[in-house]
Amino acid sequence: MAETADKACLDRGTVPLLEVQDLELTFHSDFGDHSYLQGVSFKIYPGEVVGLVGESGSGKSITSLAIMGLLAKNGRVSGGRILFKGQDLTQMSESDLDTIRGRHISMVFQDALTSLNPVFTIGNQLREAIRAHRPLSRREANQEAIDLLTRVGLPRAKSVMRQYPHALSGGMRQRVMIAMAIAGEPELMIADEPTTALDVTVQAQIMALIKSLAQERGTAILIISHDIGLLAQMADRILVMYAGQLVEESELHQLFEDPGHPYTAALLRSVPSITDSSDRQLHSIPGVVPADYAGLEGCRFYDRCSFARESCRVNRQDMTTLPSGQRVRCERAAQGDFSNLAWLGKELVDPAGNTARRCD
Amino acid sequence: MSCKRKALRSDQVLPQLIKLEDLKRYYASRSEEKWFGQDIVRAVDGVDLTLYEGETLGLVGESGCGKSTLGKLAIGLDQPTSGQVLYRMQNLHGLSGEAKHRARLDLQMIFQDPYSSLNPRKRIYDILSTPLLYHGLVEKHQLDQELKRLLDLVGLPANSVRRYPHEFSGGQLQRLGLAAALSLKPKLIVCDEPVSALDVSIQAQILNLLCSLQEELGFAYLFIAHGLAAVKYISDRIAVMYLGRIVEIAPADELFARPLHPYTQALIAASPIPHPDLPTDESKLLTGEVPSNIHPPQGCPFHPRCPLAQDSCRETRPELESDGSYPQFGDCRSYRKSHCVACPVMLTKWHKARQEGRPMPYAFPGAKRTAPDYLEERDEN
Repeated sequence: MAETADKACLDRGTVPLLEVQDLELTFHSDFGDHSYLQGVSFKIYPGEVVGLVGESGSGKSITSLAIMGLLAKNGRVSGGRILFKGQDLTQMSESDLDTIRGRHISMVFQDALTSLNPVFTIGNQLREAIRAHRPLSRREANQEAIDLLTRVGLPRAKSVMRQYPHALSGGMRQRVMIAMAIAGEPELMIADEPTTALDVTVQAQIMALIKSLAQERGTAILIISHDIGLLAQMADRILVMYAGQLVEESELHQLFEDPGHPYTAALLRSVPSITDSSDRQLHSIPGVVPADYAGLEGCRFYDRCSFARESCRVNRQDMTTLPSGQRVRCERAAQGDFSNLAWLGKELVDPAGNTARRCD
Repeated sequence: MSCKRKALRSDQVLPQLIKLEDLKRYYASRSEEKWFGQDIVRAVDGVDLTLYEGETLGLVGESGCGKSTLGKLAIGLDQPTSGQVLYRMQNLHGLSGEAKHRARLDLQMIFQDPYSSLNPRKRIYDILSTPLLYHGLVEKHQLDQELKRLLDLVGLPANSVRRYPHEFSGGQLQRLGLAAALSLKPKLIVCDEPVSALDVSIQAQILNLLCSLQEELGFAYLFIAHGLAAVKYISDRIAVMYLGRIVEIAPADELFARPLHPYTQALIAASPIPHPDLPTDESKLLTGEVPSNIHPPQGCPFHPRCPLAQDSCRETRPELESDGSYPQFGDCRSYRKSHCVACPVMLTKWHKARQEGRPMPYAFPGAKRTAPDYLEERDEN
């Protein structure tokens, strides 16, 4: 883990592989246009594992679909740029995108069953994916497909090639999806909740597989999950999204030791862990994610935040870099109000002495 | 402050609520190999378990291990193929008349997907009032007051009664499901994956709500889930299931501090811990998948995936036995604090290690991460 983090730091000197700048998406409906994301900016460097965490509706999946150019017909990128090795993906034609999609950037989806075509065999679909990206003959593609299935840890690859998706278990299907995603030898792989529907033992196997593939080939990975515990196991850096905005970006250890944004801190405290002592009380964030947040002027976490003050509601919150290197969208964090709040992300050791209201 | 109430963590003797005796539930399914003929799916294959009044028993295992079937059997939603369910010492399926009626009220359930368990065409008013009126639990003129009290208990505004299920979020729907179960003043609520479909922050809300309601009203939970962390948080005791059988049962803290069955260890080793210094050890994970429960392996059902498997494991199916911590209680199922495991191989290894003062053996070293003082000891070495 530490090695990959160091490697990622060294690579910082190089050009980012993917750079998302002020991304904004607009969806058209009968009731008018709705903009979803606001000011989402981040970079991914070669060989880095970046985690993107957020509750459902926070905009994490839609961000990844925008990068892949897979937005629904009524959606479009209405602001900002998505640069992949300097090229702006948002300005590209569909056919130019096809040379990048799957080849340079690939994606593993949450539900492998609906992502595979039920009426074609695994071999058929895998060969198609391979030949779409590489000039191989049918025979060569077939051999390559078998090699790929073996690489993702599927036993009896030859017989799997002849099977239909329904005959495979959830874990095996997800392995096939990963095989398909690495078929084009991409530089960036996006994994959107790759293990949500799987059992914990299979989840660990799939995560280990993704990590080993990244290490072997230096593929950068953007892994999206609502489970911050899962990201703690593999990411070098974590992006936290809330209600369509990026609210924090931190190195992994930094995030867990001293989360910058009150939302991140609250999120960490609401996750149960199997290492918890039996007297730990789970902290629940009151309320829910606002349903219509596009019109909110100030902080979108205002209603649920224990540290909110009047100015948070009114003022536009911008991403600020803290002295620790974290980027945080919170005016109080930016002013250093939370310097004594390192306890927030840790075990709730002393709730009496450090209650949430203390800093007010 | 904790979910686990002090009263239950002491040696206090509690009356038995539900007792499962050698419970089996087999289903017939179309044969995969023959055109004609049936296969037998052994969903629950010989479970002995006692649930005491007011306690929370966690039930964990991978999908397909039979935990949901067991939950349904425990409250009489499904008929066992053999064995029996005793509710307050009486056979649940032999009850009739008033007693049967009473048992139905006392045993309630909430489900993983709260949306599909509430009728989308009915207002919350109808959903909640129908069972109350049917069972004659309230007079008509008290109904509004009772609904208000129920909604208040689960933290929903009183005006929710006018709305339809689709107008609520997942967390709110789970609260409604809970309100419906609570309205009949049950003695046991079976929670089948109640938080799996919810966001993390909402999960914490529901878990805390379940805890505080239990503290207030004193009923028991059978809490079924595949996420170990939530189960550990809420449970007094935890039972681990594998292929229709219970392979280990222990008080919650004890199970994580000293997991004995290799399968329990594998589950712990595979669980992600929200702590960057406690990564999962990818080289030592459980491989393969749960075998089919149509043709379960001979002997110990876990032996094909177990690193400790010996010849004896392939021949005889191990029974649950006590780890010997409380020798005065012969039958391990009758004492709440005892730690029982269906793995004689590991049990022998542990006893030997303890006698010789050696560190405890692990089939999956990742399970050490939940041992007390693991981080301190690791840093010293």
